[in-house]
Amino acid sequence: MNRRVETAINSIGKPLFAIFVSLLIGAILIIPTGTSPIEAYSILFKGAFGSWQGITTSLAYATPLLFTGLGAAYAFRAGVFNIGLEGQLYFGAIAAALVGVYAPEMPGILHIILCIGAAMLAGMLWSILPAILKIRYNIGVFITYIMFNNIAQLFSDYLATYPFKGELSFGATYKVSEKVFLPKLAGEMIDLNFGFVIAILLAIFLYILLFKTQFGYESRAAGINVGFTEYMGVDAVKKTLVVVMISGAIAGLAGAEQVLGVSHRYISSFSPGFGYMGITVALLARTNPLACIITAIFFGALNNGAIQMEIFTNISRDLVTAIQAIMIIFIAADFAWKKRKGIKKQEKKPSQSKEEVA
Amino acid sequence: MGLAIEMIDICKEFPGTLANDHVSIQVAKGSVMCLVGENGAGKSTLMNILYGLLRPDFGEIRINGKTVEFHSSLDALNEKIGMVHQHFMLVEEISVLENIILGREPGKSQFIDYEQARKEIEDLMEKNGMPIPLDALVGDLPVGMQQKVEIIKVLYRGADILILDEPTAVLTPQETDELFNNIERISAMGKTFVFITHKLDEVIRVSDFIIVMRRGKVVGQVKTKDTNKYALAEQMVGKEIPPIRDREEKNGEKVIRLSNVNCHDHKGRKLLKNINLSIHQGEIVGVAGISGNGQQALAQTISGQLLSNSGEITYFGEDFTKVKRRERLLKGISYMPADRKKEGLCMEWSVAENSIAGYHILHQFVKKIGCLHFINESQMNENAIKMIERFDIRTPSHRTKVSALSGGNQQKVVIARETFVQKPKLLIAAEPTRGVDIGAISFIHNYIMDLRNEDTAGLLISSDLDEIFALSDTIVVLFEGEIVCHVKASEISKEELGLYMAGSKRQENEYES
Repeated sequence: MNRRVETAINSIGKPLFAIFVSLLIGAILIIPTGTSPIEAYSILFKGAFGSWQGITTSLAYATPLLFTGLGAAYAFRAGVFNIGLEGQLYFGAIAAALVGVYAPEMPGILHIILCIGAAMLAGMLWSILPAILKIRYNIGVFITYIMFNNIAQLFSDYLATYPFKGELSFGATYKVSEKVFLPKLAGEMIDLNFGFVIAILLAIFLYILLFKTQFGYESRAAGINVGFTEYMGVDAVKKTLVVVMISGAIAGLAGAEQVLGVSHRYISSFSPGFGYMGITVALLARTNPLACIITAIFFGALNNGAIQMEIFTNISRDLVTAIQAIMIIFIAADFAWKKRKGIKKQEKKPSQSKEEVA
Repeated sequence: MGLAIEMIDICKEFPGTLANDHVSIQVAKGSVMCLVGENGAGKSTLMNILYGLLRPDFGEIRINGKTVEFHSSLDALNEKIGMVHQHFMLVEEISVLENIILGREPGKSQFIDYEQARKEIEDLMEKNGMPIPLDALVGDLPVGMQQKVEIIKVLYRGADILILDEPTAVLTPQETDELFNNIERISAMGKTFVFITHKLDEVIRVSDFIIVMRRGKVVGQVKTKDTNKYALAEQMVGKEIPPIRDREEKNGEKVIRLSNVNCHDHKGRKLLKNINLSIHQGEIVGVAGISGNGQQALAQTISGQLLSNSGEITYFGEDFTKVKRRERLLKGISYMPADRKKEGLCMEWSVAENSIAGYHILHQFVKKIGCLHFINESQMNENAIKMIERFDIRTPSHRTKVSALSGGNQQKVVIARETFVQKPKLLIAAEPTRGVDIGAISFIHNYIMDLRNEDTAGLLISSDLDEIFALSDTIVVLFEGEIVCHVKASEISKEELGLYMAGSKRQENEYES
């Protein structure tokens, strides 16, 4: 009983606490602007959830975050810190756009599958290179992934600005074939599209994959204890590669959703950092795929509501960015705290274990 | 000359063991003292107390006649005590010079006076006859050289008393020679050495004075010139009668055979050299040896986690050299690893989740739906509940995390998993009773014996000689990755075994099996 309560507090209470305190600090930041924080937040909330239009727009904002969040959550569970989601998303987007524009005539459904497949493949390939560099040459993934993010974005932008430039005056491809548009779910004016349904299904699928299957059993083991995984007869390196590939494919899917469902073409620098926000979404959800649905919608709503708030008050929407950053600090602090506790536990009986080994 | 170190009546208790039981030692200035004893005798604990890493529960430490109290190793450094650890405490990515001055950088305020440091260190190196390239990166140096860096570093900090913990464990014979010459030279200049080791030849060669510890107590203090390695081995091991064994006569089929198996790690260091070993049904082969002499590699080579670099392994006559862990496990090779926390169990998981690890691919635990292989949770739980009952594992439920269980019960989860789901044809048990309470020890011993009597072949790796004698039919001794002794358990005494373990003796004729 006690243990259950403790786990529940740990998995729900701490993220809620992080959210609460960040909103509180956000409120302090609002005070100097002269607007009452309560008013600002209620406008934000109304904007995000107050109307059908608000809700559907929030969900539209949530969709790419849910994809990247799932990519991150899945990788983290299996012990891979994939922070290259942003780059994988860009390559997924450009791949989907190019296939959507240039592929030969074919039935619509096949074309959509081809676009999505290309996006997933692109994300997958882009995710696997740093992992191989890490395994082969022990090059830190933090650095390679971040550099790979820039390379992916700049190269995709280049493709859209020069060789595959469309009719528009800025770096964007042609519109993809109308047959590959993902169907809209809430009218033409709102970005919410079928991608959201895919993302929800994916979350459920990933949850089952992680917690109910043999594959997930092995992945989770690899995420916690490599020695144990190898002992169990599982090739941990191979496992890592597969996990990274799946995670990258999901990020590619996020890019495809943006192109096929929202903008219908690749537009240079379209992502405001979906890949990075996905990491926060995943961490706030404690890397549970189902919880990612909630945290992604929460973040989508914040981003959506912030725009309303900017219109009706004199508060910049950047406030929400600040709030999200504060949340990251709280989550990171929790991790650091846990690690410290872990170290202390080890320190407690070093000589005993040493005695055993010596 | 006066006394450099006096430790009086030191007691230190860890949960379950009295690591130091009223230990008193004295070391004269300018001498080389060796502290010898089996694993778990309390040597490292005593030295960690002297170096300020641990605080004694009771007792007094005097350095140069002055009573001191250490709260950290910094206090020990201030009393001019330095320690060279078995595992070097160096930063591989920076230069030798920077490593040596780390923590005592000369110069004014924020600026480091490298020139002065270089001069001081060069003086030190010349005086002690230990030249080291100061600008090389530590990571690029061979191990013996890295050790010199550690010694110079300790001297640079002004230490008069040097504690060397198993300094030769990682060295080649040539490097060892050089180290001993250096020790002689430096001690002639008035520095005091405390030297921890198991290798008796080295003890005799390098020390002036020897202290033998067993089970947390000092059992002997002698001048080196008054003793020999046989007497030391006897003192080290002690004379205890192994428990009476009830074993059936067995004459079974050959289960596994290793011929000329060699193994090295990714750095090319040899882990196993020319291993020839057979295990028969109903035979337990006990592997004695000091930790780190290739036991882990041997266990992993047989379990299939580590594939040998050359040689041949056959299992019931079938070539198994390239067969990996997963298939070996399914074909009946079970393995209880020495480190249950890092390898044997996933501490964050429940008893049930741990109960099928490795065996989670067996058909009874798998439900196939479409192309997905689901874990059959009801089967998993049922299996765990049966195990808990059969092995009397004390746990609130099968859903409890194993980290909440006691060491003995954790070990029972491992042994249950390795033997219950599928009866092993070969069981590798590495340190099966380490950190386990006495009740569980006798359960595990009896259980392993029962398996043997039911024709399971066994490989028992243990640093506890009593355990080896209690369970084994045949005993091999591993020393530096080689089998240096291979005999019937009834044909060897503990004292003799101690000599083989210490590397001061090796069997001439090959054992026939």
